[in-house]
Amino acid sequence: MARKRSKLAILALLFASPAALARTWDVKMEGMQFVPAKLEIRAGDTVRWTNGDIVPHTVTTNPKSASGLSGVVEPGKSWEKRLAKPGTFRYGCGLHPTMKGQIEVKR
Amino acid sequence: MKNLISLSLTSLLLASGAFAADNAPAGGPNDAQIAHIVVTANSIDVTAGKLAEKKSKNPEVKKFAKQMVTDHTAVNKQAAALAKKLGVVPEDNDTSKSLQQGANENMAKLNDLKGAAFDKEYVDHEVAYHEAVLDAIDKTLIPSAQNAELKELIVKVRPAIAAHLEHAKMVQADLEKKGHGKKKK
Repeated sequence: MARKRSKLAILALLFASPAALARTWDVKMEGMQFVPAKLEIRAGDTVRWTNGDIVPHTVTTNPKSASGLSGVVEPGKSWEKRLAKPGTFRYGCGLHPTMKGQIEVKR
Repeated sequence: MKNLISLSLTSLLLASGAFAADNAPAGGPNDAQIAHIVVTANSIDVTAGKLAEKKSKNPEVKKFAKQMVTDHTAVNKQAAALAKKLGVVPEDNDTSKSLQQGANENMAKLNDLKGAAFDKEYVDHEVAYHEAVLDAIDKTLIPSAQNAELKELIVKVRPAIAAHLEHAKMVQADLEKKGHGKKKK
């Protein structure tokens, strides 16, 4: 019976959809930096940015856009985004131009 | 300009009535005085930022100024909340007074300027001011703070001041590139 359950578990994993295997990665906004500044994830994973600083931050891919993708992320708050497309996701804080980050999204 | 501001902050921190303070190491301000210096330094930059937001026509200067208002207001909110929690009443002192006097003089100068001259004066002063504040944080405020939470707050604020300095330098370089004047030494 135990062997049968193990086989079923393995089969479930093999045929599980990518969405079921997707994970969430954490990036801290801390010390006026993104930590980690470079991250490698799989397409379909989610990245959650959490503001551990005492000033607000944003997540933007356009340096000219202060609010960017996330809008203002206040201290203690989080914002997340699912990255479905393989490639390099370069971003920064729209409010603090010294803050930069990069995510490699693998297939 | 940097030397003048730095002299005001660093030497006054050492020469002020902080020598008579309880619990402070010799030559440094006590926690109540540190709280007052932190609030004063933040308020000064909020006031200058509001003026620059109103007067500057340069988008990068306005964006920087807006960020100074937002960030220094946020820091002051935290500082005030901590002071209340700790039952510390910020204590006025010679350093705060000197900072405020310098700020009043700076504001008077800025009020008389407009256009590129205003932008240059504002940004040059922001570079010098943040350099001086960073110096004071490293050499006096962090070493002198006795309460662990107050020390932690100042340590946590430090990267924001450093980032502001870098941002100010970026705007300064941008102004120079666009022919707004030579960099002050």
